Amino acid sequence: MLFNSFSFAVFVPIVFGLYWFVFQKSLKAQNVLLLFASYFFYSCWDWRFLFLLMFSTALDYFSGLQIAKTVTDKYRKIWFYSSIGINLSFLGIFKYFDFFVLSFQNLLLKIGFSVDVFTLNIILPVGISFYTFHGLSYVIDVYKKRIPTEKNFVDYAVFVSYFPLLVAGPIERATHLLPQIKAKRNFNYDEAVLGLYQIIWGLFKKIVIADNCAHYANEIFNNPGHYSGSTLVMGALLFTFQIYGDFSGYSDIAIGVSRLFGIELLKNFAFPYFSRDIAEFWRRWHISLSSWFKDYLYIPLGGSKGGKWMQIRNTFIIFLVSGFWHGANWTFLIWGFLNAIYFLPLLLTNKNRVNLEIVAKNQCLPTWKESIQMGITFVLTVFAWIFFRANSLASAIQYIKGIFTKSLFSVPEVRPTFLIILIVGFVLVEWLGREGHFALDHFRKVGNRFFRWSFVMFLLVLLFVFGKEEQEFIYFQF
Amino acid sequence: MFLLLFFLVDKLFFWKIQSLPELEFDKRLEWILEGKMNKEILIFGSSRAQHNVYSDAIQDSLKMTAFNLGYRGSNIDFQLFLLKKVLKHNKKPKIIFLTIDEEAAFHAEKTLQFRYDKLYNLVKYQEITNELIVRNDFSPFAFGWYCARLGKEQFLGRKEKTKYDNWTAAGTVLLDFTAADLNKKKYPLVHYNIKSELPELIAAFKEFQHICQVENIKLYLLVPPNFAYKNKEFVDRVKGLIVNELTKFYYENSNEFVESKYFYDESHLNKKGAILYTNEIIKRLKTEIQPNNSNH
Repeated sequence: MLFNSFSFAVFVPIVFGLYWFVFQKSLKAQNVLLLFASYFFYSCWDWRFLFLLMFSTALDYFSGLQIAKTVTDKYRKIWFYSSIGINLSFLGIFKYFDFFVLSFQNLLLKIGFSVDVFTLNIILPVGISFYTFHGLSYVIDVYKKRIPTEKNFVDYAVFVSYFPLLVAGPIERATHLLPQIKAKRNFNYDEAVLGLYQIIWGLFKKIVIADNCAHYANEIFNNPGHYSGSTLVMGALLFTFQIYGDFSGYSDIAIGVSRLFGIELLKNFAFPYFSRDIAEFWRRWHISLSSWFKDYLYIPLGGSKGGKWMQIRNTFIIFLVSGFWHGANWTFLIWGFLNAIYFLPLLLTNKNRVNLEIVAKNQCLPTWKESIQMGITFVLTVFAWIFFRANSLASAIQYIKGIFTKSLFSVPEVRPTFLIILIVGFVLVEWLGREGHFALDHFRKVGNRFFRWSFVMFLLVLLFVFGKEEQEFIYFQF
Repeated sequence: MFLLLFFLVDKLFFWKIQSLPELEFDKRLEWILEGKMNKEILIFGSSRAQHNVYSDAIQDSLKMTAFNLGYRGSNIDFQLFLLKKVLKHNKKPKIIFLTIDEEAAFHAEKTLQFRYDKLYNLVKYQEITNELIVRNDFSPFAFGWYCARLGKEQFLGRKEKTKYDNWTAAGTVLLDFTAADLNKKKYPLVHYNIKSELPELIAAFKEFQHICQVENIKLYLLVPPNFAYKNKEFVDRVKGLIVNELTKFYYENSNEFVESKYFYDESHLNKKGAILYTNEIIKRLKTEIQPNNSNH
């Protein structure tokens, strides 16, 4: 059941109606409803993997209880490491087993040994990277005594499986989400309207921007040898907007849907393409994952406390792990490595925390300096996306070689005029709304109702016109 | 209030939808839906029907009205859809020719699809919209909302006419030029892979035959000449799929088709080839139909 599908458009109002009009008096009943709705939502992908989700939930819930109950450090550690180990094993088997086996086979082949290897060829359970990280964060927080153990299984299961964030995040923290699940929720009209705005904007990003960019980007990335350098640049640019529209669109829909149920999810994107340096970009892109890695990997590794060398080492580790989290392919590792390289000059010059506020705050336009900084950051990001999107490392190299030819200065063969107009409009709306949580956050404050309604109607028409085919979200594969 | 206003705004697209058929050069499906396809002989198939079977010659020789409903790049599923629409809105034909694409007819093939694009400009007809919804090409929103029936192509204006859009009076497009990529290589033996057939295409083929049988329409299956090869295994496979004994299967073609001068590309005849091939069909038909007619 995709967020951009008719079935989801039917599913949400039904759950919404039951939640606020049938079970509104009982928090317990509301949470049971959310759990059933989430399991139903997940089983629409593949009901067999629902058991894996349930097992993972039960494991972390039980581990949390045992860690809290056990007095001796030794047994606490045993429960803690067992839970972490089993969670990571599932992730390793489903996501990385074939990658490691085939990489090992290739390595042996290169040194002259030919071996037959055993691969699993199993389907990656959708959302496994996301719900595993939910569970890990809970177990780590309980072990570190940052949060109390959750004793109510239903509440804990809703935290792990809550349907808006189940398959592609944002990656929530127990400290943020669990208290909301346990608290009585009241319907807030303004929040619900804001949620609807966010859903519509997310759908626009996904259906109108991302899916249309994908149409051209896929063609260009799948056949890089057929196109001129300028067209390859066009392909990389279109993928840049595709990945942003796709993933931030998904996050907007997830956060918007959750607002309808009175639950606030973590912000996942904050206009990353307006960043002035790569450090700012990473504070604005997939925020819930970046902060997860910061809290559960970077800081435990020592963070920046051990001097410059340790800070650089830990930064490289974070980016490589982040790349590998995205998928079992060398292309993701190189993408992570490249971002770490981009980060390096900022670390060495202690300028990685300079641009903390959104660009041109309370201003209409950026300064020349800011424009140049944004331009450079954007170009670096586009270049890194080539590795992220390419089917293999060889294909990425072929793509980059193809760009740097004489044909770079020719007119691109692919010129989707209507799409470029849409992207320009999209960037303009994002720029105007960059000081809010999402582009239309302050939209309700625009005085003229006629303008607001006309704009939303225009978006709805675009959604219908462009929404003929349901396309999967890129991040479902991660 | 907002929803009510949006409902009214959506109704403005009614006029756009009414004007969409003007964007389409190919009026054949519209004529079918309007009940204007009352012919005695109809030709169904892909581009191999559209370009290889000269319906005007059949009409003149047999003194029976004929029309070519071959659609480039269409599969048997689309041809079945057309047949159902013809029978629903028009007088039933006496004879149907159905060309079968060697190799590709029952396989997952990029070049042979259900031609959704031929339906998009006809969404003013509720049955066309319903068909697109049933086939999951449109979301169920299209049932009630006009704007959900429109795609961006419908706003981009009329496409330019190509050399493939020159229909004769009886609906054939003759190719009086040769493709640049005519492959002159010959492959004496090509194996046919039954295992990779799609069950839904086989089912559509059988249903097509079944409808003709129930409606008492004479069905002639044609495998037009292919310059590169002749696939005997495929012919045997089609024979095995014929469910009605009265169905005729023409798969043997004149030896003259070994020459490249009759071909546009390896699997399509040019004008000269189409005339020659159609004359062969007419000769066979005359021996079968006219004695029967004279008996009556």
